[in-house]
Amino acid sequence: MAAKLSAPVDVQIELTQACNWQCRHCYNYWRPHNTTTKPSQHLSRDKLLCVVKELVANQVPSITITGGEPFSQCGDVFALLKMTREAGIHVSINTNMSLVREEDVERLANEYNDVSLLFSLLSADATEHERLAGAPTGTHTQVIERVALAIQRGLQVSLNMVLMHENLHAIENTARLAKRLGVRAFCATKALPNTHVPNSAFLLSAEEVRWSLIELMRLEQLLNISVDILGCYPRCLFVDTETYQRFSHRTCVAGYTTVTIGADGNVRACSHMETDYGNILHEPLANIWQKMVGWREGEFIPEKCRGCPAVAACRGGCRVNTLVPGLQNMDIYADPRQLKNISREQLTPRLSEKVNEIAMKVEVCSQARFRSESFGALVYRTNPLALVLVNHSTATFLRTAIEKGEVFDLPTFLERSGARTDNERQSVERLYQKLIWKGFLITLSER
Amino acid sequence: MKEEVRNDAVEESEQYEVFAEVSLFNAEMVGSNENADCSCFTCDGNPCVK
Repeated sequence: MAAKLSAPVDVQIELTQACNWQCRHCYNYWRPHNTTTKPSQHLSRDKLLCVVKELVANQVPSITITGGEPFSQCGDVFALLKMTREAGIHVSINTNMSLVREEDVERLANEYNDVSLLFSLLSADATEHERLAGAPTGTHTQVIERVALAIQRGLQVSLNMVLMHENLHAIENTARLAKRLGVRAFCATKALPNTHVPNSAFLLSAEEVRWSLIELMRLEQLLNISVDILGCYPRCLFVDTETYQRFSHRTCVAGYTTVTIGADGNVRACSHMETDYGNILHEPLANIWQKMVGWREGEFIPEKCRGCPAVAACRGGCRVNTLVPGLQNMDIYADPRQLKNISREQLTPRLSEKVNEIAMKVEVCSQARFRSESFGALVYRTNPLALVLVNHSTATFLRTAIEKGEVFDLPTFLERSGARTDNERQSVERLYQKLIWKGFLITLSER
Repeated sequence: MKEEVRNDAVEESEQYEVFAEVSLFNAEMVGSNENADCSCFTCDGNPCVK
């Protein structure tokens, strides 16, 4: 059964269109027209309040504050953090860190230490980074100092390096810098085309993308650092490489689990795309979400991909990568020829071998919340953020267990699950483990 | 009345429904009927949440 959600799980909020950098790869569609640092649009506090009310009404568990550079409206970042804290919504922030002051780090650490930060760095080399980011000299040093302080003060910080022709060579040194800083994860993500930027020569070739994934895995082993990619890649790009099992977990979720709210209030399926489906300041999010149903029903999956055995998980790759002319809606990196002689088993990601210790007695975490869905429920908690989709019977069991304060173990869970066959019992056992891993089932000592 | 009928139908289906995680994309995995999602519900956001 595939889930069709009643509302987004994560909403990106473009607090402002203003940014103090002019990155070569910038995907903000308005940037080529407005490269000043003065904000042409930003969400005022009244508008943010309106947005948060809609998020609460739709039980959206998580937001990402982005822009532009959100800290160019620093006061509004903290206003939004206060609103979301009161609403019980998890927050992460995408920032270039250059406008984050020491007092902002202190305030985040003291008042909002559950917020996670994702910062951009294009190279460990200051000159190269500043050139590619269009940032003033000295910016790189300042960013590193602020990141180091944030990590020292206990904030969760991850680094995203956008990969282009010019900085691909810098991936190892940048990963080493990330390791020295102690970031939570080092992410290296291919740049995407922007239809408003005529020159897309900075984009990686397919071979370069494949190499970057191999390199990321090598650096993960070499440096013992957590690595990831933040975009989605068509499965046929790398199905024949050792990186497939490691990086095939990301899929285009635009309009499926996420939306972007622009600084003008317009709601888009993807941050990279300009098409909007309504304005959240004038129309309920639920209505706008309904207008995006095509994204959830595969309307934008390329015709050529529809017979592919991997299409359910791949969904044809990234829609933004189709914005280069002449692709017939295909992802620029898709290469269906690679699928020849590939078995169905090779295409299917394997389950993790990781098996958690099964606690003897557990109860459902009182922080677990339930958003009713047609298939059952989205079960979530926001500190730390954890999500799982379950069917009706599981949701009913978990809800009832909370209400009754029920303590149970795996044999009881299995018995109540209705599992009869070995396959069903294995699936239920794995679900039980997952609920423990995600913090929805806790041992009595964890109360 | 329509709402009552719907609830009855849901309750009836729950009686025969084995506990299960629901897949986001209905993708399968080798060796089981588990789904392939890893909770990466975001794009351009922080790395994989739990």
